Amino acid sequence: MKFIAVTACPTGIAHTYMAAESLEKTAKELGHEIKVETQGAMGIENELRPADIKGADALILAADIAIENSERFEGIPRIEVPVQLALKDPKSIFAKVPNRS
Amino acid sequence: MPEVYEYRFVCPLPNGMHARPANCLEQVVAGFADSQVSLTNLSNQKTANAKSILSLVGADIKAGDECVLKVEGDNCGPAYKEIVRFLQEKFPSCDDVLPQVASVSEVYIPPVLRAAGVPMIFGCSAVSGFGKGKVVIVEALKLPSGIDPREPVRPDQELRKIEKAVAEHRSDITIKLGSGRLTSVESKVMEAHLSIASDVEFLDRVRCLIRQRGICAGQAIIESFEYFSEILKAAQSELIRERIVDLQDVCSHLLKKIYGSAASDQIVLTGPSVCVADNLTPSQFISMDKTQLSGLVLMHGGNTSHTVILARSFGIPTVTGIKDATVLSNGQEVVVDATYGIVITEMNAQAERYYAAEHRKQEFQQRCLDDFRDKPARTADGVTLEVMANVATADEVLMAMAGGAEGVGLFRTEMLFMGRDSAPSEEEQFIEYKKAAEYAAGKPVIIRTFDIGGDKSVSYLNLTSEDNPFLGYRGARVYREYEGLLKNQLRAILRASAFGCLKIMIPMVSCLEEVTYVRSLLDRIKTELEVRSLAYDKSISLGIMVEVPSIVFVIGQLAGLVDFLSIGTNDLTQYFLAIDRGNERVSSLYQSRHPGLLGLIQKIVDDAHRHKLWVGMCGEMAGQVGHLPLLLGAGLDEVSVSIPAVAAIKARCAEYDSRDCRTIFERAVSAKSAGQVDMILAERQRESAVQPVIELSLIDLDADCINKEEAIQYASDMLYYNHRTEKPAELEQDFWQRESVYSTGLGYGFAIPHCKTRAVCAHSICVLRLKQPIIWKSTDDNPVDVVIAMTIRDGETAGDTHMKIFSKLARHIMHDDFRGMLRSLQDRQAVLAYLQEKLAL
Repeated sequence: MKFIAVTACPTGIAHTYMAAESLEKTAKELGHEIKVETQGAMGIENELRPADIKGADALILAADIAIENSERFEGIPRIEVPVQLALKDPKSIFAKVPNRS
Repeated sequence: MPEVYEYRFVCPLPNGMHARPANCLEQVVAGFADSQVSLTNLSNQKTANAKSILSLVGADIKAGDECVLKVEGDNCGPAYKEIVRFLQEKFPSCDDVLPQVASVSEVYIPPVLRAAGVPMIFGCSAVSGFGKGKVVIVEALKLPSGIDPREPVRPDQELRKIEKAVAEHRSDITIKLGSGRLTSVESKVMEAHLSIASDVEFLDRVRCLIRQRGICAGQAIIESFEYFSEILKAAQSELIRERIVDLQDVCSHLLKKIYGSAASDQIVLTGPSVCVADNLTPSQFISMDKTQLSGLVLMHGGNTSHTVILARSFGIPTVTGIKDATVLSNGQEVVVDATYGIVITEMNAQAERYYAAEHRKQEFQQRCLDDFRDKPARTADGVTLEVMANVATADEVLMAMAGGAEGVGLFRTEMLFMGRDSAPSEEEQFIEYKKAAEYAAGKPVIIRTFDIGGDKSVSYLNLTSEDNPFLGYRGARVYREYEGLLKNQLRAILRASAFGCLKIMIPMVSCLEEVTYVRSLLDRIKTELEVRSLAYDKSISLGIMVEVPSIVFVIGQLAGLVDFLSIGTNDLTQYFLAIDRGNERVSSLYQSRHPGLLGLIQKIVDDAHRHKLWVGMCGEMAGQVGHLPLLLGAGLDEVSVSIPAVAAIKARCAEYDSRDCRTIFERAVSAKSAGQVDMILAERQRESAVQPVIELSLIDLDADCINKEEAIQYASDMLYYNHRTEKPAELEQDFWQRESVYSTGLGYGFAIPHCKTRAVCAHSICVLRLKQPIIWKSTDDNPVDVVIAMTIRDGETAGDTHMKIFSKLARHIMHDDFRGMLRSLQDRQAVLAYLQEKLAL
């Protein structure tokens, strides 16, 4: 499957990037494709472009704060989880894939 | 013909009419013996005799209260005019601003101490710091409830006893004041007691009681004390209620003078002590050996009591407002931690560890200062800059020396002349300057002759108010008219010069004649001293302040007349740029980094050096660390700054190369605007701020922390010891703030406390491997044995390349092999090399 994800945490120093790393690592192990955008202290990195969004099966939102430009993702099935879950049990997130309506 | 005048006004004093302003008003009113002067507080209808401090204080006048001043008597017009002039001009500014004290509800206890769970009692912090010692309970000074005369009372005799006791007590205080052994704060408090001891209302009441009721002197003192303390007690202002202790202090001395007493107010301390009292009198405090006094715990006594003011001047940790001090008993070992307003009544091992860590930090700070104290400020290429301090009293000279100053670049003497109704005598000045010379122990002290006029006025000089005082009659311009005053001061300085290295500096010089005049006067006094065989420093230096732009263009002609120059940037800037700083509409144009002003400074320094004159700078521009490249680039010999800035300036010098600074300065002089100068400085700042994110001293593979609280404190202190934070306690709070969102324990035995904070000066990473695993409340509930603390300097913009290091580190931490290496690498060197490789540093 093809995932897109956005990670963001309160200070934007550590958890944003740990979660991104964890999601990327787990996706690889599970044989999924993924692109993770980080919204941290350095601003938006690895930004999700319209083409990325268009071809995605699902969006993972691992954020403890409101994310920027969320209107981009309208109509995409989404899985919203706390950042910590991406560190603690990332596999469970991929198991939650919703059906495209 | 008796006349009556009335004047209505609103009390402008932020702290109301307490002893100090009352003292000022009383001194003005006392000059008019033939007039009755009263003051009525319309808000409570209390009327006071303006010739009595106690009566004035008792009228409970608060800020904003409407008052009526009434002056009655024959021909009292001039008196009325003079008093009203005082109320309009001087009265609003005759009080000091008092520091605020945190209330109990704001008390913050460091997490380590909270976790230690020691019993503590809470109060307010009055003088911060901490100290450990055995409790010494000082019984409240109590006046006897009554005195049995034992023999028939003869009013005449009793009245004589009073006069004698008052005279003796006043002379005791006067001797103490003249002894030169009191600090200036102690002197101020003693002066207030001197006025109380001769308060007309108080003495009238005592005399009246003796005459009318035929009671003995002691009984009359006690009853008068009770009468006035009732009035003071009713005051709404705490500041005024606190004056009861001062009155009690004076009364007990008077009783002792009349009846003698076995009980002395001398408190003897053996070993480190924490003094616990309901309310300590100033005399009791002064009598104690301050080297044995680790702390003060007062049940009453707010921030403004004279005892607290004294404690502050000695840096004795003081907690006030302790409600339940009955839990404390004599001999009990306690810790007073006035930084947080607490007294720990029973220590345990964890709390001991906390104070040991705090103590280490104090010692470290002391060592850093010690490093500077013996070393001159030197740039990377070995150019030295003398760093001296600005002071206003001899006591501050001692503080300046402790703070690492290489001398005093500016001793403002106006403090000695202001706030009194006659000029200080030669003797009084001599004592002060001699003390300054001795405290400086051979280092130079530049004493500036009085700079009165302008915004600094004194009542005993007949200086009328002017439309434009800064361009008026002030500084050296008034010297010819007040030659006697100047001669007294020069004589006092010369005599004191025998005890150290004093220099003389003339303020506000605009032409050569002013210098030749002072020089000839100085020569005359030297001859006179020689005739009287009085010792003085025959090679004493004379210099001037460079404040008026005209003098900049005659520096060549000054050579031979003076030995040194000191640039007073505050006035020079306002005169050169034609800006009145107080005028809001133009104050934004007051730019100390105006390229034109920098060009003027360049001319001063270059011309001075061409004529072999030493040139320094006092004034605000010199004290700002950010200006350092300009000051070094200009080639100044010295800067004189506020005491706390001395260490900072000295520490930063080594970061610069004088040749780079010269280039920066030359670019600044030819910049188009002050804004452009700021940009040049900011550019230099960014280049110099490169401190590695991690270094060997930020790695500890055997850290001794017994809980999460200690680990976070340990990391904060580590950054303090590596000069990355000046405020480890603030940094600790920032870590905890982040921790309160959710725990930074991430499982696998790792924790990554982190924060974005203003408390650090450089992005930093600390790596701690713990001696023993601790509970962190991690995601997987396993104990933590590796702590990686990350701090990012707040205020950075996104896109800062250094911040990439943190995201890279965060990503690596998610990998087993990375964590495994951090846990298993043998030594700090290996850990550092591994991190440098992985983070591409």
